[in-house]
Amino acid sequence: MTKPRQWIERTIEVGLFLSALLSVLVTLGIVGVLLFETVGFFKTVPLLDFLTDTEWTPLFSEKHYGILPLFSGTFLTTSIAMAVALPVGLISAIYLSEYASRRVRTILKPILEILAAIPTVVYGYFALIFVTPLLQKVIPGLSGFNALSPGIVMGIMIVPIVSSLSEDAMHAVPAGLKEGGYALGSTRLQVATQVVLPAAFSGVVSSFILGISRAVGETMIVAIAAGLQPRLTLNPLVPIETVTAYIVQVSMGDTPTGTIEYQTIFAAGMSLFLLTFVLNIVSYLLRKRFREVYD
Amino acid sequence: MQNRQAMRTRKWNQWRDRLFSLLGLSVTTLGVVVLLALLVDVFMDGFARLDFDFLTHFPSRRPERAGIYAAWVGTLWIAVLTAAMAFPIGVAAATYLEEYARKNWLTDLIEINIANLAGVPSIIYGLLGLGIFVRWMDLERSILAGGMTLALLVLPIVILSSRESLRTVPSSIREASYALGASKWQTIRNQVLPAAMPGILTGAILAISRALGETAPLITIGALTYVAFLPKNPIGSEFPFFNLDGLMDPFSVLPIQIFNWVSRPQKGFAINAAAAIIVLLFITFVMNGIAVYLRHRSQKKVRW
Amino acid sequence: MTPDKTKALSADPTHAMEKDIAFKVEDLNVYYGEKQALKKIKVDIPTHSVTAIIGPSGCGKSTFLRCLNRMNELLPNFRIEGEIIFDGQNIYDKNVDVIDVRQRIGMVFQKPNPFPKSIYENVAYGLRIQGIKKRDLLDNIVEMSLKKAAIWDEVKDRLAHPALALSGGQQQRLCIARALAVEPEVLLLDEPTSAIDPIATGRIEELLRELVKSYTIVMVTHNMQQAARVSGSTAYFLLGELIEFDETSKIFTNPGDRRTEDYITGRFG
Repeated sequence: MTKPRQWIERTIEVGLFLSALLSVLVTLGIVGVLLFETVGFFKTVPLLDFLTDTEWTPLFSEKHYGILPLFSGTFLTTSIAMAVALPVGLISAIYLSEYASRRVRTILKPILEILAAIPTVVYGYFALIFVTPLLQKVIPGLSGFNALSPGIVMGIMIVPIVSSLSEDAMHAVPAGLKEGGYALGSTRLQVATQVVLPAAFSGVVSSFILGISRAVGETMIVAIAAGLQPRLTLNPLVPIETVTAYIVQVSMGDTPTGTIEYQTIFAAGMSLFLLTFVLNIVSYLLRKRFREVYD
Repeated sequence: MQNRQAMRTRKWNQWRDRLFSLLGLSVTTLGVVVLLALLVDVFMDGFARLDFDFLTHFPSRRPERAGIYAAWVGTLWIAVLTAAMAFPIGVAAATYLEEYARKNWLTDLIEINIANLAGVPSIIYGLLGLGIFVRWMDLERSILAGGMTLALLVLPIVILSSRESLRTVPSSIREASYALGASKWQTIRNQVLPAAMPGILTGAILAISRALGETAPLITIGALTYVAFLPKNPIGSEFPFFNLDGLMDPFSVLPIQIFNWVSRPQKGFAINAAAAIIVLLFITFVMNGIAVYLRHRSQKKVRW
Repeated sequence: MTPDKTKALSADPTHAMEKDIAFKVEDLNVYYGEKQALKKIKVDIPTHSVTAIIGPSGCGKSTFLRCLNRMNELLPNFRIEGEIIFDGQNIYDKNVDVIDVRQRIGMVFQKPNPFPKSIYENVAYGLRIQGIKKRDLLDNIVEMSLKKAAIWDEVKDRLAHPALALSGGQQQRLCIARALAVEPEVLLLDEPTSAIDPIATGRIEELLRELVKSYTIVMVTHNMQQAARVSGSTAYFLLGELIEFDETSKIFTNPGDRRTEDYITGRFG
């Protein structure tokens, strides 16, 4: 190999490496920005108040900075979403991997994928304009903004994540194991629940956790349809506000840099980031462990 | 006795099996039902509002005169910018990780980091963009800041799907190229990347489509909801026939326009939102359609 | 035996059960999509004996074996013509329950495929899915099955350990125990020793000689010495056709067909 040739090869490798390294810089950037403003925030607000105060009113004249109402909102909408996405996603995955004929699969799978591709602002519209009025016919006490309707819609949005990742995991279970089950006279349901599901367990759990992480971080559906009223409650029928929706609410106004209001969105963002970070890493490690077992 | 018991158990098992088959089909079809409900709802609300004026008018206080001109032009700008940044960097990073990276702690760190970034809520990227691009780099609420923010948002998706695609290229291709005396980079550029390109493009188009539907990060960096002008036209009539001044202009995009209209109490704006949603869904579906077509065609053409 | 089986048996006088025939295969054609995998197979497989199925790879021997307990149905585009009479009834008959067929005709696979559960739960699996919950009954059958599969002594102290921790040969004997636990009448073995070492193979062959006293065994093998060592009769398949079926001693010493001889003497395959 001639010298310039080697030099070019080396330069290219370094360039590619820097591109890969950029992703690490992004993470550092996120942590840096969040940390910088959050530190400023905690100079004004004691950490204890942040974690224990039951009111969140930074935009009012009498200010309280308790993150609990926002967390309860996030918790509430996430729980409702997962109550929809878990059973529906898991049953769909079992159905698609063990029951559906090839033809049914080729029709249903792309439709589920479309559900995942629809912009969240569209789901927000759907929750507010279609689902809430529909639910109000059944539940008279339901207010126009509530946790229930966006929770359900968010659940539908997360179904494709849970179902397709769970199905991938079940699909990766060696065919020999399934055959072993069938050869002993199992029904499809028995093979699915007693052979495939236990074998794919870590992969399936990983998909659940990823679904939870998506629900926690989802913004537009709740910003549009859940109301923007921080409230420490587990009542799904009244307006609430999630961590994400609060960030949107403040960003809509023109909040000057350095003010405490400006810093609150970074403190809220930091909480959100830490929460989803833990969920993502757990999900990643489970997925990795699952792959190591079956590759 | 034992036999009758066994018979009963078997009948019961089979009955449950069949019941689950039905349950599975109906539950899986639920997605189809919701999708249909959503589409029908949006079309019934907004289709009548869609006309040429709607596409060529700026937003207005009066819903019947408002349009999405600024929004769809902004979306177009953002699409081009995001693709121009995320695609080369994403493919480069994927190429490094698949073809060059040695198994060591740094590679592990990069991998776990990308997996995590793919799951970071989009609004966090908005805070990143706000902190770094808007404030620190002083780009204000410009198209450039928006495009860069969204490029970072979809970067992990582009990397992951590109790696997936690179992995399907069989090593025999690489060996054949090396055996002919090609260098590593020549092999990658002339053999590996072209072979993986359909898959890479599929992933990239899906990623851009995702970026175009994003609302939250752009709200956070302060994209405007009321924009009554267009960014400077990038194609000029005089030499050098293009200018990039538009990059520094404020902007709006379709999802933000929709969000703005949905948040207003007047019925007229809800109709506008529905009409804009039809346009946004049209763009999303067309991009997904192209991606699916590309994937389908490449699967048909080459079978390793 | 369940009551409806005996009824079906007497209801169909044309299929009078022949005393020592386990499977009566009549004009069996099997297709995967367009491709025909088995052509006009006609053979009577004897009871209480080991029948070996040999032939070059791709000849349809595994396909044939999988027809005998309807495992082929799990594959898409599978189509079958003809009859396989077992216990006086065509197992492909519409009113025959596939679950019943598989419980009466057990199967062991090429690659040991224990479930990712404990040793005990692997053997108990087939009983549990039949709704048997009584602990002492389960304990009994598990122990008996493990003894029959000649692995009891090796695992009796660690029944709660994961099955995947066993060696390949042990796993395969565990799979045999698992199949025996549901008390089948027939055991189908699909190249049961191809994935394990020679010593473990010897033990499994020994085990087969023991099991044949109480079970009908049909075994696919690519190892002709193995067929000669364990089987009573041998079927030679080539390109989806049954070329020859006879007593093993005759096949290996004095084959009736030129093609069988070519294969046995190693001219191809």
